[in-house]
Amino acid sequence: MSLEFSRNVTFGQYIDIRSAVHNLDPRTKMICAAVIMACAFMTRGLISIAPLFALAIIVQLATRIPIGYTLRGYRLLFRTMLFFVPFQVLFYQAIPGVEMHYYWRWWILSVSYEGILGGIFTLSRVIVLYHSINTLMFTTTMMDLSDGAEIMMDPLKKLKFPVNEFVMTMTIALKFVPLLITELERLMRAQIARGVRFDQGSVIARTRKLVPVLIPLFVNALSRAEILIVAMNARCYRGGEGRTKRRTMHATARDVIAGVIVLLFGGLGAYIGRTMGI
Amino acid sequence: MIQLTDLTYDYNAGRDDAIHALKGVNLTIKPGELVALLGHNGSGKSTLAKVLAAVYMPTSGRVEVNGVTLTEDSAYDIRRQVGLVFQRPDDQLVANRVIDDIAFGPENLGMPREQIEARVQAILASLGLSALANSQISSLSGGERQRVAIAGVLAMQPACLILDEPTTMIAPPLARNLLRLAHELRDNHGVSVIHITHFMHEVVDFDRIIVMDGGNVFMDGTPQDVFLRANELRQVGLDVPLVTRLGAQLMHHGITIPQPVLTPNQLRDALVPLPRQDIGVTRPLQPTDQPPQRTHDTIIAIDNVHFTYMQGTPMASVGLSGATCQIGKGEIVALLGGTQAGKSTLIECINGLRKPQHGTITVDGKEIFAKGYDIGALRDRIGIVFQQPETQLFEETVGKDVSFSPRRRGLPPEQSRAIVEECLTAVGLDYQTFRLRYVYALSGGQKRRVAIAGVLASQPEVLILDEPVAGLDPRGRTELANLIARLTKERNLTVILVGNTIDELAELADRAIVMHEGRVVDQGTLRELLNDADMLHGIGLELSETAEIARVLRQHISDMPTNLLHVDELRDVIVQRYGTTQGGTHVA
Amino acid sequence: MKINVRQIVVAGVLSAIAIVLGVTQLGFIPVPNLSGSATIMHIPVILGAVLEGPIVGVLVGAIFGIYSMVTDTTGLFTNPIVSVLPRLLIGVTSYYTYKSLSGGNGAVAAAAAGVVGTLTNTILVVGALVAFGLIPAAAIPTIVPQALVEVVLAAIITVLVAQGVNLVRSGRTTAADTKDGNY
Repeated sequence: MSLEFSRNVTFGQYIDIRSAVHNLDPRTKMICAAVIMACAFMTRGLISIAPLFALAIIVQLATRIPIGYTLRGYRLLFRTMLFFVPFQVLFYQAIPGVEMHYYWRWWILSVSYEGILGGIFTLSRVIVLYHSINTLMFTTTMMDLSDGAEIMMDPLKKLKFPVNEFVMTMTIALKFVPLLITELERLMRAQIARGVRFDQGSVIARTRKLVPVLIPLFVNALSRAEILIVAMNARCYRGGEGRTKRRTMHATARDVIAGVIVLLFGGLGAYIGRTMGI
Repeated sequence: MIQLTDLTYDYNAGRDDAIHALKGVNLTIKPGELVALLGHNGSGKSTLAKVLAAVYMPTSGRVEVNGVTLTEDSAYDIRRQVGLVFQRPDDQLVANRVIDDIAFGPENLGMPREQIEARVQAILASLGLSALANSQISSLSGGERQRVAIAGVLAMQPACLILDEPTTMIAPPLARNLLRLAHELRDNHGVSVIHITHFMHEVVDFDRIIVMDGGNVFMDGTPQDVFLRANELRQVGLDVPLVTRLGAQLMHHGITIPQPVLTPNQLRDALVPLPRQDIGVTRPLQPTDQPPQRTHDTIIAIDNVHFTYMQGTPMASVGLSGATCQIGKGEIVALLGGTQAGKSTLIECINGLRKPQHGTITVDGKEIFAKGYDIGALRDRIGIVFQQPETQLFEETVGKDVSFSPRRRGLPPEQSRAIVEECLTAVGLDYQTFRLRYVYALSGGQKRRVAIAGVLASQPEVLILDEPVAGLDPRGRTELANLIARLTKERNLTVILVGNTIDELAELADRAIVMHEGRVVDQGTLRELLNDADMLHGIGLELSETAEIARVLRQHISDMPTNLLHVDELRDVIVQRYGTTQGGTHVA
Repeated sequence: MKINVRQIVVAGVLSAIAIVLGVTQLGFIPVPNLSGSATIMHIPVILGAVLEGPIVGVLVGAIFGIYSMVTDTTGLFTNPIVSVLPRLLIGVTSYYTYKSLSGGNGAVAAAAAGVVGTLTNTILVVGALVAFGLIPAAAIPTIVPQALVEVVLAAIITVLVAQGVNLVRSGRTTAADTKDGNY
């Protein structure tokens, strides 16, 4: 059992190269990711997903992130899909009015040309969705994301939705992650030194060994929360009302261009999907 | 200007179990004053800080800050005027990046954006943090985090800054930086600074010292006034700085120097003009003090060990780069070095917690990372008490935590009970009182003892203690050091004491091993090492106060030995040279 | 809706634990089924609801959901209706379960909250995955062993942590003498 949990973890994995995509306003990137996702859900087949797939390739090139690096992140995705896609193919339900080409049939299971296409379509759609989020995380820091989210959610404040409070919760969560990882390492190291083997035993045995780690982790974390509450009061925090922000964001012409490109490709895919169902 | 009038504060106010923490405090703090607030635990000093910062509301009496009286309604205004810096910076930092955290306060005040930006930049520059502005706070050192915490409070432009025991938890060099900063804040920002501490030597150059006892002000004056009244300070569990005590003793021996002496430099400057007997070249002090060259069988041999953290990633950092040393059976060894010297990494390797990339570690002649070696059995033989062990207790009750190892080894209940009783007694905790006590209900010092008992309960042959007294107040340090001295004497153990200071713990050792930058750079008895006190100082080791005074005196008194362990030796050496009668006598 | 500093900070800390369980992989217990592992990452959500009420539960659920969305490596959780929405509801269902039973035995109430919260998570996530065609309905049986493990773990850990926290808050100093006999 390695005791070196990386302390520099954040949500996602920001890659610090200043590409055109990196330099976009985080709000633009979030909106674009949302548009791509919405459009992907309106696609119906390989033809309608094609423009979105093309868009993913264009975006990938624009980020200047090595393609190999991106693909490495797909290993688990492919493994999961290797499990689910065959199900999809085997249990493919014939669409009324479409003639099926069977290669093999048994009971409710089958392998058909249409089923295989359906499987490939599901896989493509998953890749498009995954790529959009992944690119957002690769190219945007967490601070930018939460600041961008706060500004975008600004109208919700009028509906009494506690935007600032939610973003503050997220900030505090991120602040505590490295601290708690250190604490976890300490607890586990002390127990290993006193003879616990976290890397041995059955599933049940290993899980039982986690309990004396988790309980002090929770209890200590909650007592640290009590101290931070006092500290935040002492630092004059009293909710989002009347609070200002140091950081600002400016959208530029580049953001408009990026938005137009995404809308064009995404809209095309969605249009084909909605009107032709292919 | 802060004015306290008949201020009282009760915990659990109005209830039967109310604790009267402040009992009618009257105090005025002037703008731009640098004030030390001293007092033993329970004297009320921390409560006073929290009431001043409007975190607690007074039970009765008045707190007035720049004309505003503290009430529920004005608490917010007082909080921006009086900033509180917590003992552990991690407890008060809110954001992830340095610049965002410093902006947190001004943002809460609702200041316009440009003004926040200007203020944050100015503070970053004045605290030397500009280069770190966009860094993740989690990547900073403890000292840097503390600086960020102070910057975050300063960004509110408070009239007064309270530092609540900021030096207890950090290494001495960082503590010195922090104190320098406290002076700069007064000089450059015009704020009054209230520094709460247990360490007398930190506050000798402050404007004013306030000593609290039993919920009230016990003494209030300049350092000169306060430290002249050594007997009164001892009454309330405090003491004068060591050099002050030495100065008083020298006076007693007929060496006329102005009292009180507050710093080693003052002592040096007072001594230099005095007539002096030239006693020639330093002879080795107490030559019989050398421990007999015991022939130990080697139990642990470390040979050319290299270890790099997170190897193969951009975050890689070197922990050990060719460490070599041996530990003999039954030997008491001090493993010394400054921060980042590689001490903690080395002991983790010895225990098999980290596997070196190069080099070998053998225990009783067997390579511990060899295939088939029983690492579990090794960990039973080598017990480690890690730094801040009180944070590593994981069972609900004391008895359960201490009995962890006997239970894990499947010992019969009566044997387990006997071990628990024996180990608790060994660390000075009464078995019947403590075995069912909840861990969270213990004090910090008690938790630390329980942690040591828990390691003893695995009945190790080798006991490793990593900075066992760090983070305790002076009284706690002395008590625990005495306990460890007793343990090392009474038990037939091989002991490795890891530390960054030549203190009373290091003195227990037969031999010291000095590490620097991942290597062993020197070995020998403490006195041998102290002959080159400047070298030890240069690699970031903290000298004992005695050795440090000797080192400063040597700057002008060339035959001044520095291999001194006790202040009495230092006194005798000075009396030999400056006393009116030849030769110092041991006066207890 | 008014959220106070206490709720913000406690929710932040519990969310951090959920994330830590994710990034260290400690939150994944290997289970002998094809989809890999059972998770305990949602337990902080349940605890937030049990200890501090539904607002904290929902806040922790939201952050856990967003975390699983943005760090997804399987391609299944990129859709917020799969990853975020069910997690919001964990806080709600486990809170009301706990509250409706908390008149009786606290441990039973906490265990029930753990069970209901976990089932909320499993059923809604799997339901959404099937509804969006991300996994076929025929794959549901393969998830059952994992769901069972999750339910059991959540019940146990929720009870133990809630007891630990409540113990600290109670201020009691000494435990009752056990018949354990080891100490």
